[in-house]
Amino acid sequence: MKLSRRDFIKSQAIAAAASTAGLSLSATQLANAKSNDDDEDIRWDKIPCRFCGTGCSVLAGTRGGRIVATQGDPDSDVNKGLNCIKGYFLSKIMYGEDRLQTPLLRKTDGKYDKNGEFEQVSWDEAFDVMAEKWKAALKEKGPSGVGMFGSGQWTIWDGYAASKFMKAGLRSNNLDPNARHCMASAVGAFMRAFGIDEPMGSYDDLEHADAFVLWGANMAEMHPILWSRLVDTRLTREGSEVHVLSTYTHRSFELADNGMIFEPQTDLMIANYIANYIIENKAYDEKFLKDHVNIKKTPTDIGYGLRPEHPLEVKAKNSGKGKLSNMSFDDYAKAVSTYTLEYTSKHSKVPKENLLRLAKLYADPDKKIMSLWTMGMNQHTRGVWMNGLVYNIHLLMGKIAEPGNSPFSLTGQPSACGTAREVGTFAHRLPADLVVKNPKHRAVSEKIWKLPEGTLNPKPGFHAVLMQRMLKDEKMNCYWQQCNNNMQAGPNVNDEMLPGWRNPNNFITVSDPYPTISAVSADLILPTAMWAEKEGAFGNAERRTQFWRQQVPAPGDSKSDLWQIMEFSKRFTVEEAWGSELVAKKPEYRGKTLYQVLFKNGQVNKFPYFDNTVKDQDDNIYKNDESKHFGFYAQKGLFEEYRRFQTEGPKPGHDQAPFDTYHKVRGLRWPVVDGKETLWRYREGYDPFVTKLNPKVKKGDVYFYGKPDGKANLIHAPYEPPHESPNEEYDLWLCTGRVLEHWHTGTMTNRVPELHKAAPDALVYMNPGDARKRGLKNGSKVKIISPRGEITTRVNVRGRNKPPKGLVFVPFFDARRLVNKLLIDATDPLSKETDFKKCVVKIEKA
Amino acid sequence: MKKAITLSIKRVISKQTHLWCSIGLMTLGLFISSSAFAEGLKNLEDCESCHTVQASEFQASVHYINRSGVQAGCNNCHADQKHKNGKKTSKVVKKDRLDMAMSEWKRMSDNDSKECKTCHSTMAMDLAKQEPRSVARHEESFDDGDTSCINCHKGISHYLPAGWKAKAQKVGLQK
Repeated sequence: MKLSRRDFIKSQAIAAAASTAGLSLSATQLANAKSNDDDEDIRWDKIPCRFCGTGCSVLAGTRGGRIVATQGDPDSDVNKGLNCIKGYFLSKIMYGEDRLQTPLLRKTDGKYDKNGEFEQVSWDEAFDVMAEKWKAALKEKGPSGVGMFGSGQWTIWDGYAASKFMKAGLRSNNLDPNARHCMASAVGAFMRAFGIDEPMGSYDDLEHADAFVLWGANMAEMHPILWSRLVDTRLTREGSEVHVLSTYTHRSFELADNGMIFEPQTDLMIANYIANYIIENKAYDEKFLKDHVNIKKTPTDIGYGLRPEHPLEVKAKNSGKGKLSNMSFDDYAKAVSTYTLEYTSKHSKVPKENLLRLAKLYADPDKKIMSLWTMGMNQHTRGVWMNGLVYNIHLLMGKIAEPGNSPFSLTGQPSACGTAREVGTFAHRLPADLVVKNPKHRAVSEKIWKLPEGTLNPKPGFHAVLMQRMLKDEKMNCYWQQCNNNMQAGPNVNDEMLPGWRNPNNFITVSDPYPTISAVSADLILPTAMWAEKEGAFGNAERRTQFWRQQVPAPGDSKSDLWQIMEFSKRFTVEEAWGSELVAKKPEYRGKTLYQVLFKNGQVNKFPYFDNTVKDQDDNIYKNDESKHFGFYAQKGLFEEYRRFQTEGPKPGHDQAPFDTYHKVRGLRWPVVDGKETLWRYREGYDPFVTKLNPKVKKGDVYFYGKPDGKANLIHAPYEPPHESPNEEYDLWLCTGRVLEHWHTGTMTNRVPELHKAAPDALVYMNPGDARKRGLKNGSKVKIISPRGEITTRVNVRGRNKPPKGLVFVPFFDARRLVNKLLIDATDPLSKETDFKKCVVKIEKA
Repeated sequence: MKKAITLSIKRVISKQTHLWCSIGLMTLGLFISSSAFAEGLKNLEDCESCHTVQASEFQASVHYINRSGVQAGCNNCHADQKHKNGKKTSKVVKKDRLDMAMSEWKRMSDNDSKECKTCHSTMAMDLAKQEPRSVARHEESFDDGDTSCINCHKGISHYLPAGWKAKAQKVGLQK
């Protein structure tokens, strides 16, 4: 939209006047209050925020090929014109001084050398060396010799192209996203309980719920805009309550009517106690359970996802096992009866009256409750179990899939949903909730992708943590990391990551806009286009898919992830990638490159692209550098081919709208049927798939169509101890996480002067008693030491986080303090997601 | 000798007068030796009467006037050591002020800056609120086991007399 700043302010005034008069006008439509100052000429366009899973919409102002301003999008249903502090500085994230502009390869004397210094090279040379290494690895070890580590911050088509390239092109399932570190446990629980991924409710529940329970989520800092909506409801709705559970006191506690600090890992006990309370007081919805719920149990003593030779794994009776089996209601009732109020209070250290108050809230049939959680529950060695236990509570009470009753798994990244999960860029997945293990799913994928039968590999590949171990063990020799900073964000950096990266037998490529810790640890750095420098699409936590147009060109020679994947695919012929046997099944592919077979397959290159193809409603023309380069509308072709999985695949209920629609609206929540989005799934009247798949369903009733019998699974799981606990030498828990001002590893936010100044250093938040006991003052310099390594920082006893005795918190945004060095790579054995919230440390004066 | 004087006084004044004079003298003696009379040599107004210059300097210092309005009194730091029982040692200040400063610095150094520490606790220092230079110096000093404030922090309440540094360093009172 062409809207100068002055016009915008004027139009806002008009909008205000209009709304007072009872009219409703779009802010950007009002631009036609033409002023005399047309020389200001800022072009405003909608674009989703680059940061968290909330998915706020932003108006970006472009002038002279640069984003010069941003503001909260007043027309967005998500954020209604607000942004958090990170969002308000979006206009600065692309303009850090050390923005990478050319590929960089480690060289000595003009040749690639693992121990050489980085030198500028052309894209051609970069891909020459990379292709040579990849082909050698494929030849020696087959498809498992290469791997790609992608991102929940990839656009939908970045992820889709990567999935095609790795799985269809190189036949390798070694594709995993950094979303493995954040949402894998949530996904595991969705699939086990409901058979389909992603929440059944939406953000609208924030306005419909009576009460909110935060399970280990610090929404005040991590999902601030959603928090503002929650605060609004709490302060304006009669009888509204907020309950907050965490292992330390943080900013969200400021609003808590019932704040509970629990001993790490005992959240498993607390959730079981609530189920026990509901059963003992016969508060459960018997009819709902009978009609819509199966009760299951899961194997116990399942280990911690460590290397198989680790003593904890050897000891575990059912290491990594998760197969569900039936359980009677009586057996379930007996199983949870262990978790009495006394028992739970004693071990969790939460006072009885607080636990009781929480249980009473859930057990009250008249209270609509929204449970919210993110990393406290997902980054947990029993994360899948824990997610399930909260679903159990909602299923017992029938409080699900209706306005206000909402177990809501919040997403961390902007497109962990839209890209990683929905497109299936995981080691075991395919698009639209399909999995590589299922022959029917592979068959459908091969059909849509026009592949010879048997192309797709049925064996799941290496997940995030395993990929690093395989690099260290030299079982995988080529690794390509895009759109994340795993050397800083992943666990156990020194023991399990760095050795593999620096091993001369491995070739490491990192695509990033900036020289991050990962980039400087690699062999080849590819300069990458960011956010508004490409046409993109994200999917947020409430299933809302949002698109944006390219606003500005990428600097220098930097290219988007999509461009890199498609270009690199030109370097492989099908004979090299598939072998002659497979090619013989489709002789028309003989001699073709993967690029031609995957991206010029008549589907992805179906839509023409001209200079004026991408336009907004005011006829402003936008560039699309990838499409210009390749000669067809690549993003549209990829998205429309991807959509076929939703209608032709065996898993219904994922439908999205056509490509062009998304450029016009502020996103739509899938499933989108006949142009209408779905706010609540699985319930008749809200979700069109319910009657489609169960024509006999009663009015207003639920049908969990993700499961063959239409019933959800209530899965019992007990408490099991964490992988390590404080002992005599390492006497403190270490919890890690974020702060409001920084996004993840701070590669973007630390390059914004204001955000850097607001939080320049990662401090260790500590209990004042613990500090005093160790002779530490506020601000004292300390060493934090774990069995894996040490970092140095300063103490904060009076900051935003106030831990109880025995626990400390360190954020991971600071490249000078790689706190993840201290963690062990223990995961939930079912989801393979690392536990970033618990490990043991000791602290001493530095 | 005594007998003769007493006999002569006895002859000049009456017994009653003698009694009252004795009582009077005793009272006067008590009065003089009591702190009520020395009143003073404790509060600013009293010290000020002789140590005028130091008193006026003090009233410009952070220990007298500051954001939060918390004050130290002369006795909080100087604990009227030199003025035993609040007595003046002479009618006017005779000692050179640098000498007075030196003797106070020595006294404070000897007791490990005990008076400073009645209010200023090293453990309660919020390093996050200090300037980086201060943090560096404090950490270095405390790590070496030196927490005697006066070793560095001189001239906080009264101006530093001319030539103080050389003289103090010579006797090891200044780093």
